[in-house]
Amino acid sequence: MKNEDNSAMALNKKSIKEHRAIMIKSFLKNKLAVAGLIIVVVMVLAAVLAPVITKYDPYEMDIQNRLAAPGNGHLFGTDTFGRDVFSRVVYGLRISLYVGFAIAIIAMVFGLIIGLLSAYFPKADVVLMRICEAMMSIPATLMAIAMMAALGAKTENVIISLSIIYMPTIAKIARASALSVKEMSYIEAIKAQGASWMRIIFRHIAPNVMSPVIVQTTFIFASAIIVESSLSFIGVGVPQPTPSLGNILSEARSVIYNSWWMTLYPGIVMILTVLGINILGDGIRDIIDPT
Amino acid sequence: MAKFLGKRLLSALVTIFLLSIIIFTISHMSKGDPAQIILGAEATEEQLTDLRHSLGLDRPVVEQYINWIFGAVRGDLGDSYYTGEPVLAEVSSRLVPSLRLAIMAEILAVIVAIPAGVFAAKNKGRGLDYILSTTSLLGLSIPNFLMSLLLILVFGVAFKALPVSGYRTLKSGVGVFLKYSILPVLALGLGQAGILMRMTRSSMLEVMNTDYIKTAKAKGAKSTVILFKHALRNAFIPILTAIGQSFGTLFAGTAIVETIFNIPGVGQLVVTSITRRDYAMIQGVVLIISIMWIIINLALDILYGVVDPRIRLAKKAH
Amino acid sequence: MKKRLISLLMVLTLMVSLVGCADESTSNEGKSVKQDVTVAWDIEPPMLDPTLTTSVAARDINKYIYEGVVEMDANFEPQPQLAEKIEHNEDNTEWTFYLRKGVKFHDGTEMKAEDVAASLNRWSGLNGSAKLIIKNGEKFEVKDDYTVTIKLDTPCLLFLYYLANPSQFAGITKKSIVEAADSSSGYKSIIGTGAMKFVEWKQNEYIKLEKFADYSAPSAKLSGFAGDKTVNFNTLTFYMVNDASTRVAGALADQYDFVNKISYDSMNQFDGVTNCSLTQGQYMIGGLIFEKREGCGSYSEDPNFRKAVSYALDINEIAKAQVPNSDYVTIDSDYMGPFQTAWDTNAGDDYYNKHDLAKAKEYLAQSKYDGGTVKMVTNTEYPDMYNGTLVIQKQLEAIGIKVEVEVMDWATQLTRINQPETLDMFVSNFGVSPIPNTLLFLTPGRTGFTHNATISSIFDQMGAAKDMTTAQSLWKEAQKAAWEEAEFIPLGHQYTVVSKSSRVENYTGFMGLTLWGCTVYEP
Repeated sequence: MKNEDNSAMALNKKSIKEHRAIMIKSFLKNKLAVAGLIIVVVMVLAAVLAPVITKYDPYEMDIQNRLAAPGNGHLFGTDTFGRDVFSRVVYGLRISLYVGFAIAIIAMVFGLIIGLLSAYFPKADVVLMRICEAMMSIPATLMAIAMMAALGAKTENVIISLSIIYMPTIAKIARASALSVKEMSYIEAIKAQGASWMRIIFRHIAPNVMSPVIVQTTFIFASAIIVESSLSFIGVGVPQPTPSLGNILSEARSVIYNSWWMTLYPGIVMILTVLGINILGDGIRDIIDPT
Repeated sequence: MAKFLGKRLLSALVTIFLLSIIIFTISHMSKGDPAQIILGAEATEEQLTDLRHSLGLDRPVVEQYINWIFGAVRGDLGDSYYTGEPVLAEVSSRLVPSLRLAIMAEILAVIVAIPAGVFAAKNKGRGLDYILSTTSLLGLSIPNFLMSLLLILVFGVAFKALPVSGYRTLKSGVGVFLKYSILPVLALGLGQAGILMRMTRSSMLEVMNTDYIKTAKAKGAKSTVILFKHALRNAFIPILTAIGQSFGTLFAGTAIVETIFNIPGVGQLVVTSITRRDYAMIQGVVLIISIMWIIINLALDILYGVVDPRIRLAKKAH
Repeated sequence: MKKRLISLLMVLTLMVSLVGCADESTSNEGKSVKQDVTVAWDIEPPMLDPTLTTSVAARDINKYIYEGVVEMDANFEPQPQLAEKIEHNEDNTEWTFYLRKGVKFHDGTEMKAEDVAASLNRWSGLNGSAKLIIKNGEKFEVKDDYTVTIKLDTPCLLFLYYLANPSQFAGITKKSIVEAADSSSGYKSIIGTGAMKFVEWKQNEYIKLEKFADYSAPSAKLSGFAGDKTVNFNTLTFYMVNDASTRVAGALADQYDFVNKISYDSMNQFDGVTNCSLTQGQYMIGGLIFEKREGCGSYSEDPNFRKAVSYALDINEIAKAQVPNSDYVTIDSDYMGPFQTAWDTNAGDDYYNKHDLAKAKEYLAQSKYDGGTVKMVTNTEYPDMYNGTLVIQKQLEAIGIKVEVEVMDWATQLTRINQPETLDMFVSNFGVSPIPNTLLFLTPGRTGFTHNATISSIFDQMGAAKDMTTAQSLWKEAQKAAWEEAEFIPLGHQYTVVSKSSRVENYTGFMGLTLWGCTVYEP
């Protein structure tokens, strides 16, 4: 019995390896997806290496030299406090990526748990899905603004509120595919063997619903960056003076007539980052779910 | 059919009830005191206590919720703390500019997105598809506020061609009205076009794989005829649903676009009400917008059920 | 060739029209007077009850609708407005106001002593500064139809200055309106005796006023808020334009006759513009406020810590961050406005704007500062506060003080300020005060949290003084006492920026946009 199990696992491992190789190959064939990956890698590297690639401290002020145009050692110019816009953009990117990533992961983990539980327990399903639907019926941006006003503008609160907002989306997707997995005969067989519900849900059902969940998570990552920056833009997201792409652009708005560089450069970085993640997400989806 | 309808309506009502609790809780959780905003920074503690009392803010939260929800059922959402005007009247007057903006943006999105989606689907895997798909992805990768800023930078600052903010009604003339509408509508509509184009493309691809279209092709019908007459018609319901669903997102996007372009709509109302801690107004606006969204989705759901009985049955099976 | 000719013609036409524009805007001769004047206003007032709200946005609109028995003139002296004559006894405890006869309210009824007494009693019950002198609930009494009296328990030389204070001011309305209002909600109807009457308030859109035909002006000429405030137009509409860049665009396009609050960073867009010009608006004193309420446990409780902060600051840099255009800010150690020359003193010059890091560190070492985090709060709605805070943070870190700045919205900040244990200091600003005694940052129990026995006793002596010269020299001592303990640090005497169309003539702003006496012409 034990031996059989081992060989089955070995076989399984081999096929997974092969499967992976095929996936990587087809990903590399998708030039657009590769471009997306490159953009994302560059952005992540820039964010991680922020202290190395920037010359100025993003908080260092130079009031006499405020709102200076690009040049003179300031690649992207300076802002209303005379701070280096390039440094602020790089550090801002760091915060924005961190916040977006944290939101995506938290929403994924909790959404997955909620989705699986409600797929497995019909009674919980009624309550959980109603709550999810109620939450999803409030437009995300509006809900986020209201929640942030309630919690106060803090980076952690952005993560908390946006994770909560995105959770139902993942939960619904996880639930839908878990429902179909649950009906499969092998799950019934495991159940008959007397496995605990925890084991069934997390060992046997969960791995089979991961593909759509992962695809959705990449899109949430991109979307979270957008919503976070929108919140920071209207002043209820990441609080100043911590730079985030959204609050740099918010500051830029009041001086848009004099200092175009404060809008243009952070704007381009923001667009490239989100575009990169979206292209990458599309690529991943095409591989996992080729239809 | 009646059973299906009843069930959908009931679940919508339950959703609205849960929603009201969520909205109430969120808006009352915030720090800050409406009384202080009304009376100003230098008001004395005595004045503040009196005002809190007359606004009912010193009553237990549960009592406040019950008062609010019973009022809401009777169509009375209370009075604004800040202005003292009825919330419902204020929201309805603010809905006009927002809906106008949202509808114009949606129309723009439809005009751009549907042909683009159809052509992308037709040329799947070819250059045109790549260009169109990437452009649409670009559209939805730019947040509304950034799109607004970039448009202002180009048309307002560099070319000084268009007014960068303000709102004009049709009364001031069609030309003036359009001039003031162009930038906000573009800011909101271009991103929306990105979303719609992707949806159109994928529904078209699905339809084009059906036997029906394959037959039409085999019969030698002209490709444009197939595309627009047969395929698009069949892909229309999912596209319509997509339009309906995305309208909610679009509407929420007005909050930011309205703030930037200074349009007196519901979105701007939410943002100013938050800075004023006008709970009565925040609750009212969010509730109304959410209910509108639920109704749109319900209507689409029912429409869908009527058009395609399979859905009704499938829903039953769950 | 033809194309070139056309473009040449176009350029010529353009130039001619531009020159024409410039000509037009420099002279308003021969043009008709504009009857419907428009103002782009920045903040919607919460209500139009002058006695209840301390909002400046409300004050500047209320000033057209309501008048007081006395008003502040351009020299910051109280002058009779609705009163004809004011008498007081030797020790300044009994005051008698003889009202002008025939003054009409906007509803056509005549203003009588009962209206004045009711309005003033509401004011003295609500206004925090008034409570400092009317300590035991003394009431304004009706003597006859045109005479109001009050007997104060404590002598007060400066009584009329309190009455003329434009903040939360003692505007007169009808007795029936006062009686219908309570201490929390504002007046139900908006009726005063001012030069303009209230017509309509469309929430979030506009407030419209109309010239009051039966306005009864005092015989004195216009000066500040006092004198003949007749307006030279028929209606005045305040459009609520919340967004700063929209106001700028509106000003540049000559869409409004006046635009309140132009942001400093957008001022250079007005360079070379001929259809409007910028001028000084509201006066404010910006300041660093120490949280030092008794028992709050903040670092700021310790005078040595405050002095360390004071010596560490480079006010020039802070002022530049707050108000980048130096025409709109004055750096002066005085707590009173530099234009209030009667109260001028150099008492603070030895302490102010020293930027002496060695001395700062010396005081810091003597203080109870233990290397912990100093907490400041600020908000993004008021960029001047936010900018000042960040620069102060930087400057304090230079002497080894760790500063944590928490940024929130204004509503949250107002609440946070009432939780003394959670913060050490913050940047704020204050409107003009006619006398030092009503400076909020020196008044016990008000924002500023000063409870300095020396200052309080000097203020009492000023009230009991027999003449202004004595009071003014006493103030010098009070200000010295305040500086010795570093109670409050002024960060600059600032003005907001307003834009007025070049179609406007005889404009004399006083502490903000004041449109009495000016004339606006049609384009």
